[in-house]
Amino acid sequence: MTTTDQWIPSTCGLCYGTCSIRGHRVDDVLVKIEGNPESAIGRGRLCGKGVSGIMTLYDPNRVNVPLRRTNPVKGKGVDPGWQEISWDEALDEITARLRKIHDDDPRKLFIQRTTTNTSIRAPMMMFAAAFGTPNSWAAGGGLHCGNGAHLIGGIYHASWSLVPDFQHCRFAIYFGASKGHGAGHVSCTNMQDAADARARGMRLVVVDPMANFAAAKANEWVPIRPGTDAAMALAMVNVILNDLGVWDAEYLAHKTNAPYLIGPDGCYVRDAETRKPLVWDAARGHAVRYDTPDAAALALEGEYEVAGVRARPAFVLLREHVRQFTPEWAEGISTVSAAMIRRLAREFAAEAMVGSTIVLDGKRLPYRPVAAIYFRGSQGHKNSVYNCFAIELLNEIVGAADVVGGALGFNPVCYGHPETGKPWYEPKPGPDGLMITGTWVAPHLPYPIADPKPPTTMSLGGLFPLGMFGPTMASSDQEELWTKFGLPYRPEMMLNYGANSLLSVGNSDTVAATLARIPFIVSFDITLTEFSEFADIVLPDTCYLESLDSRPNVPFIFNHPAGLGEWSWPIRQPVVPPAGQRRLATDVLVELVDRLGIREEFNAVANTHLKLDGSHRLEFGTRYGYEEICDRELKSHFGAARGLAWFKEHGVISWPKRVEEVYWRAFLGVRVPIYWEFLIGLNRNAKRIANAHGLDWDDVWYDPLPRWLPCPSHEVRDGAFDLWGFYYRDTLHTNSFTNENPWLDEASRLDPFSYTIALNAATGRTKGLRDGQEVTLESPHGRRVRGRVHLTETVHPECVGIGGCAGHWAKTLPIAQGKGVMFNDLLEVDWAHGSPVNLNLDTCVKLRIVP
Amino acid sequence: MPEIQLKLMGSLGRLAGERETRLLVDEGATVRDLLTLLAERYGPEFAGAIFRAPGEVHTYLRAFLDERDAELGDRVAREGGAPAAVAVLIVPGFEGGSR
Repeated sequence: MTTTDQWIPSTCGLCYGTCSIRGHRVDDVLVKIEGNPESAIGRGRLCGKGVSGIMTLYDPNRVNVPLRRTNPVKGKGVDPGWQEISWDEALDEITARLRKIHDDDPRKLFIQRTTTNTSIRAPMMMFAAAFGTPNSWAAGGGLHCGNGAHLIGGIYHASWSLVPDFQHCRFAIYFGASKGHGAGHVSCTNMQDAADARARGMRLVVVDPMANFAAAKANEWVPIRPGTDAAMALAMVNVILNDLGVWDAEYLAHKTNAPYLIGPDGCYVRDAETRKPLVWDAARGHAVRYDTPDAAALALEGEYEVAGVRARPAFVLLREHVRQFTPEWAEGISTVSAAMIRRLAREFAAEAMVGSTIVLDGKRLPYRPVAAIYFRGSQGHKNSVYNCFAIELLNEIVGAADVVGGALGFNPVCYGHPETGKPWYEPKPGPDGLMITGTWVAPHLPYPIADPKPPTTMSLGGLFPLGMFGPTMASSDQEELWTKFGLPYRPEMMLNYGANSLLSVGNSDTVAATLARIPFIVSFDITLTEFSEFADIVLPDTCYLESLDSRPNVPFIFNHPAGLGEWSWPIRQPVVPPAGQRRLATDVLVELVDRLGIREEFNAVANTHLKLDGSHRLEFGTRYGYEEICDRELKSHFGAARGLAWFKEHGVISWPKRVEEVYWRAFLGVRVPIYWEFLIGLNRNAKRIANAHGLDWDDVWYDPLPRWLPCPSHEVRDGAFDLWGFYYRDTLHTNSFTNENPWLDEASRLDPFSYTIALNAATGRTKGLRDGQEVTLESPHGRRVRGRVHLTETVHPECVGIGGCAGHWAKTLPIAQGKGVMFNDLLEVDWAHGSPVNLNLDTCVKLRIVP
Repeated sequence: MPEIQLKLMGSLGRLAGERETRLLVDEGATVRDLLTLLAERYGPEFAGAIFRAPGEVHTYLRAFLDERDAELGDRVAREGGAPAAVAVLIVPGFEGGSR
């Protein structure tokens, strides 16, 4: 007999899209998951991954008790000899290890987390700050997408990422992006918005080595050689600026640093007294500071005598710089024909409708219905900064950034709920008038750039202030680099949350060697994975359907829908109680905080991060459970009547967005850089430090204007390696996590691509291959993977595409084991394959097929 | 000169070599003045954790006066009475972490 039948509002956790859901619980059993129509995040829609969460919850191989390894030998495929222990035993040992490190040097603790479950990001970073370690990363994701696309998104859009203004855009061009096609940020809402936009008539061009999720639904697929996006984009910029003579002078003059005067040394010409950059005011006939209130005629062209030097606006330098990037030059690099590049540039420039306006909500606003969107594909390279910078210039030159119809950051401005005015944030002008984000996600803001200094972190981040995460924590030359820079400590302990870095970073042999050197590893997990083989203690975590979080979609710049509509702040709450001895990881972190005596620090960080105020702030000396912290955060933002109890009942609070929030660019006095003058000083100082420590340095990566620079794969001269390998995000999966889900596995087995190596059919026939044939792929470094080829017309003739991240080998993952191909096993993780400007890891590799 | 109770939280305590101390500050000294004083007192590595560039405090550095968020221009000493409790902490620069 049924005794309870409930629909419980909560939040999905099967990818970082974090859509709002409702769980149908009957007699303490979850029987179904649907999208929650009350929330803007998904708007009632849910993808196949989200529906399948029930299989993750009830996975019979879940970890239910704390485990301690008995086998001191660590290695791939080595049985740890797990022994069940009590929570007290586990926490006693973990506390003792942490206390020793805290008293000695807190930097010896390294914190690693997954990007799949966003709920852990804030608690883990708060714990790290309170403990005093700067050493952390989001394994895999941080290196593959975190350093370039998000950096550029932050600098130009004050947001983690960007999408077309689906409601008004007329022409979108995607460079290795999949916004609206079943994966990533705001996944379910974007899918509907993208479909509606296409139905409305938005033209979509997808530039990508593979015609899969995005290109299959586009008007046009433009196959491109991996890692060459900057070449194509720069040629388009050249055509638009120099052949067509199209640009948005008003936008460039007042929203960018295009009018800033550049001297012969490449630096801004500055006001002698204030050191502010100067611009040429044509009305006055002399130079003025860029922020002179009544300066309206800022020159974008010409050459001027200022402060004893000849100076030209940055825009002049940009136009001159891009002249060298002809479509013919770009064709040779990217394989995209010069004619195609010219046509797309013409279409982009024409559709931008420079000068046009539109009235929304009684306000006349710029209308630029074009968007150039970049993401993982164009950014996952050694040259990620210039790839994304070059593509972003397309938006900037026609003024299509955060205006109606253009490329929108995800919610860079929020003026809060009408009753409380919270959450509230907006970008503001920083040094030299350039934009500082109103809120952010990663350890440091994208701008302003810190002065480089001798690195004191494991990632060497201090020397590379443009990067957020560095590969050194898992690189083959880790010890060499740490020794070179005199790092005064080594990792003593790793605290991992849900990440499987064996699969997500690079080749597993290199990653395994670095993990084996860490004396003590603790991992919060729901199942045992390849990473567990290196853990000393595994703690049984709740899965997202058993978890609590007051802020699964905060900050809104990460995974809240862009464009007009509604704001929604949902919570995550358990739809069923946790089974076994599973515990919420955040509760465990709070207990560790107390055991370690760092409560004051943790509460101070929590007050700041969670913006707790008034009577809801945490007193430094008082212990609070995580549930109470959640309650205080919600009350701080939505009033005393809307605490956790209110949210548990209602699930989500929503309110309308305002035009000033969505199309904020017209309303705020901030500028963005089309000329990265700050790279000059950064390069000079970083080079000095690097050379002093015996590290070679190449200035070419620090030019203030972008260029296409080759990745290591572009410099392979051995003709036997005749293919470029890349991985793509299979929309059926999230990182390596969902491969163990039986429903998703079944869908993957039915899908011709999920578990195979996609090879161009003509190329395959030339090589004498047949569809389904087993092959081995080999990199120039001798790394090999094996799998079945799928011959298809939907991949560039020079390329092989592999869905990531499959290829599990752990016996503890019986569904996933032995299925698919682990592309990352082909990737090198070392200095040579990282970006010398932002430490991004290169993820394209030259390959050959061997018998 | 007024006295303050200083607590250096998280990694700053390690860089300074002490987590808690008492300091005499100038009448009217601000948080920025205090940070400058601390940078001189504790040396270059500590200074690098405080200042992004000369005179520019990292956006992710937070100070608390009697457990309340403080701005760089806030005075650190109470008028008369007991020493103010000042805490300084590096908070990763996301969400509320940036000034």
